[in-house]
Amino acid sequence: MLIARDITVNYGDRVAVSRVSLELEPHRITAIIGPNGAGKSTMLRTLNGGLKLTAGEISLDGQPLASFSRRAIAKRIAVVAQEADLRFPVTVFEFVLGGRYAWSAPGWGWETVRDVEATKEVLQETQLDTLSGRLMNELSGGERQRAVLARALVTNAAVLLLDEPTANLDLAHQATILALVRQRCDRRETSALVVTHDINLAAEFSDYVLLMKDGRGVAFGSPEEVLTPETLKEVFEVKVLVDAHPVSGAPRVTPVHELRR
Amino acid sequence: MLPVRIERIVSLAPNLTEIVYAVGAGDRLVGNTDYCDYPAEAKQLAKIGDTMHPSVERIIALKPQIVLVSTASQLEAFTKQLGQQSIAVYVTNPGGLEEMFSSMTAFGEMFETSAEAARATGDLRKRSDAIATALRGVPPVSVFYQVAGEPLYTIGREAYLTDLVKRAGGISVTADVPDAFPRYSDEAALSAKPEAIILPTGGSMGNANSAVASPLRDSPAVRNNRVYKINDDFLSRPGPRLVDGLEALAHALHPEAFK
Amino acid sequence: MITQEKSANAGYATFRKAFGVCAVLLLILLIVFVAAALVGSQRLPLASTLCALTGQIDCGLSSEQRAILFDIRLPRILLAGAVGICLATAGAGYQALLRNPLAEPYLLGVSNGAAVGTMVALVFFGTREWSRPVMAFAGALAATFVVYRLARGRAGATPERLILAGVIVTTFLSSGIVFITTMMDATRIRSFTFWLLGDLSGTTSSLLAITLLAALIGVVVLALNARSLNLMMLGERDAFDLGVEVGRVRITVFVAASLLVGASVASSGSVGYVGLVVPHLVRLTFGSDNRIVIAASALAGAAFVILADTVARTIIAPRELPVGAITALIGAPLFVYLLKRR
Repeated sequence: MLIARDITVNYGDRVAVSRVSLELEPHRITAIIGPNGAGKSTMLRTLNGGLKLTAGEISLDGQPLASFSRRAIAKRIAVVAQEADLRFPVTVFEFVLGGRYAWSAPGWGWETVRDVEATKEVLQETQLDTLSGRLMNELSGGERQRAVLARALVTNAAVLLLDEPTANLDLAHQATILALVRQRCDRRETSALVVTHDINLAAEFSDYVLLMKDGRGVAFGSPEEVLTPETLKEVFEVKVLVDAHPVSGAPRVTPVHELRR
Repeated sequence: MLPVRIERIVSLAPNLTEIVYAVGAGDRLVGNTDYCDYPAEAKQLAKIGDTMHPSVERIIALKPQIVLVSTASQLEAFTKQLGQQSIAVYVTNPGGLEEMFSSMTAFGEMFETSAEAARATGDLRKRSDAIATALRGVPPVSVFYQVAGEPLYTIGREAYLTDLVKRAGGISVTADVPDAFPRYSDEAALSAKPEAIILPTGGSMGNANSAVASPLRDSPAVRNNRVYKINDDFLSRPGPRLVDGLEALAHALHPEAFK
Repeated sequence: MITQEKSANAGYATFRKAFGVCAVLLLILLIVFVAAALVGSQRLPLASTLCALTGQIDCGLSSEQRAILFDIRLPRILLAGAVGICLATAGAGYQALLRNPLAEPYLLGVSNGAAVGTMVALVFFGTREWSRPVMAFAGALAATFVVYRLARGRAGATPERLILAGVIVTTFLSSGIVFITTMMDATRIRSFTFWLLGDLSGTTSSLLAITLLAALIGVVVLALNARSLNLMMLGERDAFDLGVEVGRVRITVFVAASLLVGASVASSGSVGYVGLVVPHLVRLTFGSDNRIVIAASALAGAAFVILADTVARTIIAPRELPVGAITALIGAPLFVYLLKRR
């Protein structure tokens, strides 16, 4: 499993993340929320070795992360970032198939039957199978994000790190993405860490929440435990109202704006 | 027409410098190019750059009355500037022996040394006529004139050297090729099979162009040892030493006619 | 664009597809090769030429025709092919690495760096022929290094910054080349100007061998990194996340591309547009998978330069044009057309 202890990341003089610890619960979704500049994405980036640590350690399946090769990490941890750079024409199938890179031998070679099968399965899972022959830049934003998720899922990694996966998506697509992640976790195939600025989405879909501010971890626990008006006022400097969502029962956070008329 | 006797001359090309000395006005030269090295006195004069990019400032500083320009220079730019300084500009580019003689005569008139000019021209004509006489009835030799080796350049239709080679009893295998100095293909050179090869080298060129280009290595000229190196200064400067070049060429191509 | 939506595996690169593409391009290359061997200051007969090319002695060619074929045309065609392979493959590599379909050795300053290296070798080590490709390689690497350092900003060396830095460096080196040229005496200027536009004649067998060797090494190294480039082409960070050792691949591709460009420039000067137009055409026709693009660019590049050189040496025969003039004449309008199509 993925365990981060006392992570500190400095950019020159600026402290982006300061002594944050996190243990990813297996087969659960953990959300990281917090105001802008809290260090959420930075924290996520350290977890697959993408950022150098100033201090602290990360261990994966009991071994230090640094002892794994790039390919070995990629087989165990997959990242879903915002949309890919699509300057070159590439079909959806090719795009998702590319995620099998870590499973191939280094050097020259072609994808195996297993790779092709895995891609077909994931495309069905993410409901992209009818679009697999289209070019990536012919897809809508929501479809493209699903393809990016599909590419991460095809690696069959045990850990999924998602950095603002719903940032530019409409409501329907937001729900679809997170539902897919939820499905995988429920099938005990993955554990997920989602960085999001959408508190309510986090409350709806995650099992655990890490609240960060100014690079520090402020609170950790279930959404009910963390999302209290006092804590949220302190972190976001906004008065909020917290009640239960009428349908799901998850905590629902509503800001209270004092507008003078 | 210049009313005053010209006392201060600047020359912007080596061949023009040589013509000035030949017509007896050399003592009135006050400046010339870095490449003007003949006769020896020419080397001592103030230098104003090279033919392609002369320094206008330095020319003006020498206060010449006339500047002699070859058409190889960048004309328009500075003729105006010199005109503003009341400096006359005389443009000439003799293309061949006859034109060169005419230039000598013209310079003689311009510098009021017509007698000397006539004498010099007369001597040179005598020598070139002697060549013509010696070569009367002698069948011409096919010649490849190699301007540069790698890449391969030769003389074409518009080059005065083609005519000079003819006067020396040769016929350039590239006489019909358009342009003055065409870039010639290796294949065509291989098929040309010249009886003799001329390598203009030495002089101010140094060691460059002293080897036959590879496509010609199997030609009759090389096999019969008829590759002739001639001082490039005699051939590439349309001045009085062109006759030296003519003689060198004729002696190389037809040694038996000059025993 | 009509696509097949029947099966989920529409449009990805397989061995079969790669084989098919390469077979077709190889056939085209062979045809261009033979046609180039037949054509020149004199036309050689087809049957006799084919016979002679396969190594037989008694083929009905005169000794002069044999000399033309084997001493002049064949080395030249081989060099043209090698140069085409080098430049097209390097172009494909740069485009994938820099995520920019407009990346090209000339634009990035690499060609000019190699040219300056070659000029230095000519001036200081004139007699030692091997010094030219070595110094050209060094020049290409140095230019790449400078461009990369110049382009590094807070967000790393983004493709836009790299192209900008490349244009700055190439312009600077261009004026350096002009400066060195004006310092040379008139007799060498003409031949040098010709070389700067690409001159495929007058190369020795050792330079040809070096260029062919460089082409082979470069293509193999780039092919081995083709899968990594497929991912890097879609985003360096994503590639990193998917398991690509981005830093290592970047250095490897830069060095291999410098080798390719250096060898090509050292033997034949700057031939432009090949690295830009050929990979582009290949991608438009066969897709973006670099396993196919690199091999196809090599073959198509060879055919393109052989073709251009054949035109350069026949169109005003017996005179010659620099091959770079022809590649530009074909390449520039073709490029404009490609830009408009997107």
